[in-house]
Amino acid sequence: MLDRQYDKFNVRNVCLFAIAFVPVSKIFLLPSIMAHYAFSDMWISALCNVLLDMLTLFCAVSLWKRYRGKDFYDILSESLGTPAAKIVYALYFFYFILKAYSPITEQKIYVERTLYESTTTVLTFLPFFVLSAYIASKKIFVLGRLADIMFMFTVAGMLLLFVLAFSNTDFAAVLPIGVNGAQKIAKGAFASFSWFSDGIYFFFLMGRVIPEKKAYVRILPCFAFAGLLVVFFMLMFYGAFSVLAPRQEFALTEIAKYSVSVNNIGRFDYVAVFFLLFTGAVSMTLPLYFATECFVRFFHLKNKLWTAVAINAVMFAIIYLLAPFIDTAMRLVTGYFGWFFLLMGYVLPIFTLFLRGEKHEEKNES
Amino acid sequence: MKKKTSLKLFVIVIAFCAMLFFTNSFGIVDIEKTAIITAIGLDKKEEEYEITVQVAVPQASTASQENNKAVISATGATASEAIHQIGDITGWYPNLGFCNLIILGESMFKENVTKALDYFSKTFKLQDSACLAGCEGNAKDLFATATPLDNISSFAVQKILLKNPGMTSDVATVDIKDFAVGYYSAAGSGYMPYIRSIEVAETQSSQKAGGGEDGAGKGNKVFDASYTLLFKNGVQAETLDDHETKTFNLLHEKVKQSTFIVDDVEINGAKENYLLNIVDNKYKVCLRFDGAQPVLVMNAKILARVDDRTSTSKEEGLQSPVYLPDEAARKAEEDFRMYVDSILQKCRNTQCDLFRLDDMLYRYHHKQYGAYSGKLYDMLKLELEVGFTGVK
Repeated sequence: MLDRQYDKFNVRNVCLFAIAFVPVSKIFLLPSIMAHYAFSDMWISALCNVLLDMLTLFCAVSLWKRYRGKDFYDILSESLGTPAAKIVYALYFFYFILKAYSPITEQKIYVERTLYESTTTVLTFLPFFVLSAYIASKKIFVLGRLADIMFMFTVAGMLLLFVLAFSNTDFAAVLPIGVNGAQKIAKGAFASFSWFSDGIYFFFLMGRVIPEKKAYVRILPCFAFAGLLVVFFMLMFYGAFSVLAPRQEFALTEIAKYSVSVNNIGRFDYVAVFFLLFTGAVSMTLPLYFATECFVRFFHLKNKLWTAVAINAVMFAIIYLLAPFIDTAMRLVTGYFGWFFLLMGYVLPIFTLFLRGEKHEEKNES
Repeated sequence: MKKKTSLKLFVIVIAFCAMLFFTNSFGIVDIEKTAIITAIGLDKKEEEYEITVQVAVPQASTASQENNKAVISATGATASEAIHQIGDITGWYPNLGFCNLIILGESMFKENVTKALDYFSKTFKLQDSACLAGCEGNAKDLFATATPLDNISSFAVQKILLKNPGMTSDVATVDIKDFAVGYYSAAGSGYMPYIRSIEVAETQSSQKAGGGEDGAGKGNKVFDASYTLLFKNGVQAETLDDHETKTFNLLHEKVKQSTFIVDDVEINGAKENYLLNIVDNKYKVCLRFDGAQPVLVMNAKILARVDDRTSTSKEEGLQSPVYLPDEAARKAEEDFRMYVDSILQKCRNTQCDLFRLDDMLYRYHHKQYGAYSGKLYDMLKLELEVGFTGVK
């Protein structure tokens, strides 16, 4: 009883969750990947994905309101039956495992290549998985508390990077707008589905979020703000690197270092970088957190601990076993797997608009 | 009971990770085995690249000052190979993280410099915000030069290239990233300061520099970087003199506390020389099309005050320096036009797109890009509006 009472999210937590964790996972490798496909129009690709994410979030919030804060699994069970709910959760389990691959891999590469000077071992990035397993074993209110604290670091880190990079950003580099054509913009958006579609998290939070009045008016603008931080980051990234953007792998540490003050004083932009790495570490654990949630719900397990440990151990093994084939793996993630991300991240949520909560409940009542 | 077990488990796992971290530091290289490279020089020696690095070797504070610097060279078929060679012959791990300067010797200018520079703009080991410059003679010799400005010659060069914010207008400073952007952009052009050693009377300065333990060195050479090298497709094409460099800077960056020399100003039949102190500047460079005629529009509004003059007139001598005589202002504008014409002529002759007009064409007149790309300097009409004013 006590556990249930405290295992809650409120609307404020959801808002801060979006601001704290949505932007940070998209500022490591993603900008260069998007620049590789959409060139100067990469920010349009990012904007398209943010709009799609808004649509997904709208579907989730709408479902949450219609079913008055019920759990997604329960909604699916009631509307489509338990087998269908299990199938959907199984699919989302694989979705979250796949979604976790690219952000964790890029964070691993980032830590190994830029924060360590020479040979790194298999153990260098191991502590991340310990942290991830620990968070995944916790109840959902922990994410809310983390968001309450970490949103300040994300906002401060992003603002400091923007301020430092602003004077050296040639915003005209993105002109003429749309010159690369709709196909390349779409390809840029498609390739980055793995990093986006964060609106989906709300489907798995909804059972724990207490219904409040005017929740739409608070959640959607906060998510839009988080999305606009990403779009603005993409604009600044291309403005800073122009034609070099596709080969500039770690945008996070790159965009602010050309500032005159950084040149004269030293790399104090690392303050912002470490703020974002701090929140980034938690942001990268989210797909594995929700994969654990799906697994536990699928098998109706009481204890999350060993599931969290097992899932993180599997992810650790996947990442290290695929390390020699990282290029192929990333090509799959940005290529064929994009269809799966599209289906699970954007198409399935739209179908939830057709689930009718009240009628169903009325029938039950009669 | 279960909770206590899981807590214990996590404490053990975290302690294990901490043990790994604190015992071998995850393979971080010991500081004693690290050579902190402060500057890199690149020369071409026959078919190979000769890399010269200036190294600051971490030493105990009681060590002699001469031990704090070292200049080491190595050769390789590529720049990267030469850097690794340095690690091999010294046993040090070359740490490029603190390298803020790359100097190219004259032998590099004959062929595409990006062949060697691309490594530095791609590698994570070195910050691509490091300054880039060319030098007279060999980069290796420049590092060996003794200068009274600093114990380490590359630090002396950096002082010239990286003055305080807003005080860099005498030098057309560029970093590796900006040079690479220019090279890979539609313009395919770039520039970098040209460093020349200038001999002065030998001094032994006792001045302490920049908060260092004993920054000043011995020697009789100082450095000048007021000239600028122009590059087209990575190959050196032209050189701008100091006046042209200042003019170029006034047309592409905010300038404060810089100077502009105006000689032979005719006032009341006498010729006088002025040195103007530039307080502020506004600039605009854009491309316009009048039908089929491309027009290069350049506006420069420069707020200046008289820093010095050779006048013997008592009336002028008593005047406040904030007022700029009309004659001096007109002569400054005339000189400015002359320098702009000269720069454009050099660009025309070499096809070096210093003002990145092809980029402007691509961005703002995309439909005309195919027809005018690479031809603008031959076809354009200049519309230059320059105004030197004092305080009004």
